[in-house]
Amino acid sequence: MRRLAELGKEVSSSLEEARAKGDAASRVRAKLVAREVPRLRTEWQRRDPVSALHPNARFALVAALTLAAAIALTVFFAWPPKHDVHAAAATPATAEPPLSFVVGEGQREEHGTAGLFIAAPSTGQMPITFSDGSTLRLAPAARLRVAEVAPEGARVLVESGAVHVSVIHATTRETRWAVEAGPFEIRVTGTKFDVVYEPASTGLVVRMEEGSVFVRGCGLLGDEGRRLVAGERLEVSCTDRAMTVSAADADADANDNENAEPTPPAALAAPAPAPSPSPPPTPSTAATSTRSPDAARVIGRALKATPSEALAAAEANGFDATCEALAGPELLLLADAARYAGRFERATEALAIARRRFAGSDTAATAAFELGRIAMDIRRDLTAAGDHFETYLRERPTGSLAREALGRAIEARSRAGDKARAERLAVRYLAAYPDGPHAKLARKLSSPDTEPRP
Amino acid sequence: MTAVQKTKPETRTSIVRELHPRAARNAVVTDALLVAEIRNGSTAAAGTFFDRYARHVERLIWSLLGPEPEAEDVLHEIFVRALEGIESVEDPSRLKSWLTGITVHTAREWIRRRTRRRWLRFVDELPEPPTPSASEEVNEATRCTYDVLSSMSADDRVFFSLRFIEGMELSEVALACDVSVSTAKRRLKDAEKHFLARARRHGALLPWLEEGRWAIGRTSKAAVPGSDVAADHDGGEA
Repeated sequence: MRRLAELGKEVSSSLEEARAKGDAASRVRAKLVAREVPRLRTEWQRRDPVSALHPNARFALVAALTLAAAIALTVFFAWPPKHDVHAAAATPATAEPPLSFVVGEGQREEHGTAGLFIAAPSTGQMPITFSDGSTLRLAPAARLRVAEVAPEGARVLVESGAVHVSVIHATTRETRWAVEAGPFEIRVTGTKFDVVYEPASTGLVVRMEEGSVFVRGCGLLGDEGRRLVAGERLEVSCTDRAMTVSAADADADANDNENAEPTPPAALAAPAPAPSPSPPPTPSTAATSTRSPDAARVIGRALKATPSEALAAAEANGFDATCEALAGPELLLLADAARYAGRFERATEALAIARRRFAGSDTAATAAFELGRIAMDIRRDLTAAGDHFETYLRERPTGSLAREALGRAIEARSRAGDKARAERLAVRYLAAYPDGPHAKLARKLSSPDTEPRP
Repeated sequence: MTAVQKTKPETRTSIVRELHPRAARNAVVTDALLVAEIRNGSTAAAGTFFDRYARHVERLIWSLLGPEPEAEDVLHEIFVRALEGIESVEDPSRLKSWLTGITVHTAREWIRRRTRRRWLRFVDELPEPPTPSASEEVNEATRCTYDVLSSMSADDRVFFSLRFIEGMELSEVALACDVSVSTAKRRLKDAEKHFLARARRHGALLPWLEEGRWAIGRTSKAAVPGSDVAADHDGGEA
């Protein structure tokens, strides 16, 4: 019995690690609030007048409905069949409902309506969550409209400002999203990218994070459009008739995860320069890349191949040199690959380089969190783990990993015997996450009468 | 004359709200209020309900089903069922237990469906499960554990997983499975016996079934969930 409990505990912690890597909960949440709740609300409203009736009246209603259904069935089966393909295609009962979306979050969450104008406040971001899990995050003062919604996607019109777009690619059906900004159109299937539109200069910047998109418009990008892949950045201005495509390394560290605020680049933040008298640059001459092809290959492998293969490619290229060449998110990806391959020393190395190279960025903070996990789960170095988690908390006190970091910091300090520190962290945890997963432990530690479980 | 302006002392809630609006909502909304708001069709309340219990439910799903790629669909199904059935909550203070019951019921149904699907694998290829990222030895033990569990009946599997993997107390297992404590104890004993009989065929599980478990090099003093129950439960040990 005792040994089975030991086995169960090991199994449970290994599952916990695998589970923590996924993002299932946020996708399910998005579907629930944006799709299921409106559906259920409609059902409840429909049900309400019936439930309010007297039981006898309810019985009469049920009897009447049953009779009506029986008549309808009789007519249906008795009537000669008529094959009308168009009518069948237009039958709404079998059609999938269009996506729905929610604007804002927490107490300010509201159901979105297609066509209405949405503006982020000048001091904060504004998230829009779709029922398929896709999200748009407006930077402060950005404005857009969700022009249309369909079962397979939506059409979004960016009026001005910066928007982070994350489209979930559906595996069971076609995914079709379009983001339009002035004369430009970005066609999306499943990807993450930032789009910045400045109407005054008719300037567009697309900064790719994952996947690929096609951008067209303004006569500069060809009839088919220009394909952009992960890591690329397109800057195009209709007014200047200019376009550049480059690797996004230079600013990737500042915009490397979903919590990073999409910011307009300096070129668009400033007033548009006057058209140059010199001949306009042609698209083919403007493309540049600052990343070595070897580093790009490593990333390609990390995204598509097995972790061991990605790591092998990095080592063949020179592990340190690869780490020095990669952008922030890519370096974290390489560290992940090393972890999945069980090469924790390489993972630690990559994360340490990420902390040094991208100090102060989200990448560095995430690297601290990952170092904490390795120290705690693999090396069992609880003091070091506590230090790393607290580093994350110092650098990103309200970051997306803050709750987990605070909880793990409590656990690490408590298990390392640093009761005073664990207690301070526990009080902080309860103030911010009274129902969080570590709340029980935090309550035990913050209560003066109870001794925490070792 | 100087006007004395009374300032309202800043409460903990307002600080929390500034830091994290969802956390603030969690802090102020009781389960009873949450249930009432969901019944009124509040999207925000449904979101808070999810935020409050998703981790618990997700953890439970993983314990019951193992590393399954369909865990996300099961999580979704459970919350849809919960929202659909929110009218039936009689005692909102027991919302978590109620949701745990739905989770166990849904997971049991999934296990049965999965067992049926396994027979039809030639027409319905099962997706690859996600791999846990612990040490190779623990990964192998996890894989073997769920291999053994998948050969057991849905009921045996649920009782075993709740008790040994999720670490629930016997009374909690009984509540989650909607049976009496004595029934839970009996079922658990059967499940344990069935598990041990099958587990012996897996070399990776032997260190956990035989004396000398520490030979595999772990040094953590893993706590035994509900050791009080362990004392009651002496028949099934290897």
